[in-house]
Amino acid sequence: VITLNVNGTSHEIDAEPDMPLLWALRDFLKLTGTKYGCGIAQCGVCTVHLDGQPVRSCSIPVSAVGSAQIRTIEGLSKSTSHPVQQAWLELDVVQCGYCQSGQIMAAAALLESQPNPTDADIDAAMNGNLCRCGTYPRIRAAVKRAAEIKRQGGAA
Amino acid sequence: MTVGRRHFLIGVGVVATGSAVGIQLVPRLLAGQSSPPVDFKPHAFVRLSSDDTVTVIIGKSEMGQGVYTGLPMILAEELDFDPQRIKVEIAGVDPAFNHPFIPAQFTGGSMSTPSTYESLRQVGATARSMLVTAAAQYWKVDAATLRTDDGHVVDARGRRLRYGSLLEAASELPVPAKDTLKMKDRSEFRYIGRPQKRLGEGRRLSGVRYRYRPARSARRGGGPGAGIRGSGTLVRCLRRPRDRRRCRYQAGAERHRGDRAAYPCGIQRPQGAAHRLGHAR
Repeated sequence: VITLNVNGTSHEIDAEPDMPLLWALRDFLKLTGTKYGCGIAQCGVCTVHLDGQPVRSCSIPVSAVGSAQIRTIEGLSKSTSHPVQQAWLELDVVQCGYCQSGQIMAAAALLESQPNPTDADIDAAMNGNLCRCGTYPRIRAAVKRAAEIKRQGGAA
Repeated sequence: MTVGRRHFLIGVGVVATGSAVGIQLVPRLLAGQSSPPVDFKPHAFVRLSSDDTVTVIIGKSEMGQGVYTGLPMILAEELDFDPQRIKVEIAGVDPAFNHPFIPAQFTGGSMSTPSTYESLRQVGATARSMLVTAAAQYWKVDAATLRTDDGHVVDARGRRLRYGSLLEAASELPVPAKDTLKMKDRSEFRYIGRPQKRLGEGRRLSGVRYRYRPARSARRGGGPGAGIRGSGTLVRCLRRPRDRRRCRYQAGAERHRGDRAAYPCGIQRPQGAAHRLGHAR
């Protein structure tokens, strides 16, 4: 039995130690907002926060998580009030949406460490999140907008 | 055409195919019942309700290309109703939603907008025309003196009637012939050709679980269900396992009924990767 702290709640799951975190989130905890993309930590779709750091949940075994706090897209905010979600809505970033849970989690983590990111900061931080629809320009604009909303005291 | 009180069809010819897209106006009230929650219910594409809800029923898959915003905009234009307030309903399996050139509910080839453009405009114009006529009769004025403005019929003096209040009266009117419909000129367009925010956005940004469950008949019958399976953000099997033994987590995926075969299997980890993906080697 492994204990996972997800979105502020502690869950005990009966999983093998080498089960990837993504599997545990989706299959055991039914948190299906986090998507499966490549499975080899190359695309960023499965990004979640581990103690605030963006990580690829497809490639982290549950045994490596320990007592770290996991945050998924479901735990980002109630009713899409997080500045990143607000900016995403405002600028209509999403097309098909498949990669966007990961994009949003990566952007949210970036803004925690850099409240006022430059284009270069954004490109560096978001580089590992692929988008087949090609929404990159809007993502970049929306990260800046989210930073603005956050500075103006938008919900966290 | 015989027009019954409770059930009639507006035949709107679709030029390209000669098939008809109908608006069926079905007041929900049966004789003898009083309070009126009325549906002015388009047979295939549109439903107006007395609470001023407009619902467009769409037989296309939204895959990020924007049909669930673009097609409502087309209806909105001729109906004169703010597209941001239009609700989208995913069509069930019905030949009414077949592609004009392909005998299936098919989405692709950049054809969703051109293949539904004329019919959605006609449906909107027809409904609008009947609502205007109903208002003209109520006010006892010439319909030509009336105009519409975002869900209301407005008279020369500026009095306004909500569409929702006119549905029952409108549903008893004869259906205007297609060639009598006054369609907007391009220069009058308010919505078509102008950027609109995506409709119904939000849930995709919050990880909300939504699984489209097609009608039972669709799931059983196969056929069109194949298209439905791939819709929305269902996680689909990218590569089905040839050898189940290679994929331990397949069993977990199978248990998760909505996401059956949700995980691609048989993918090999690159050599030297820190963690195994769970595939027995």
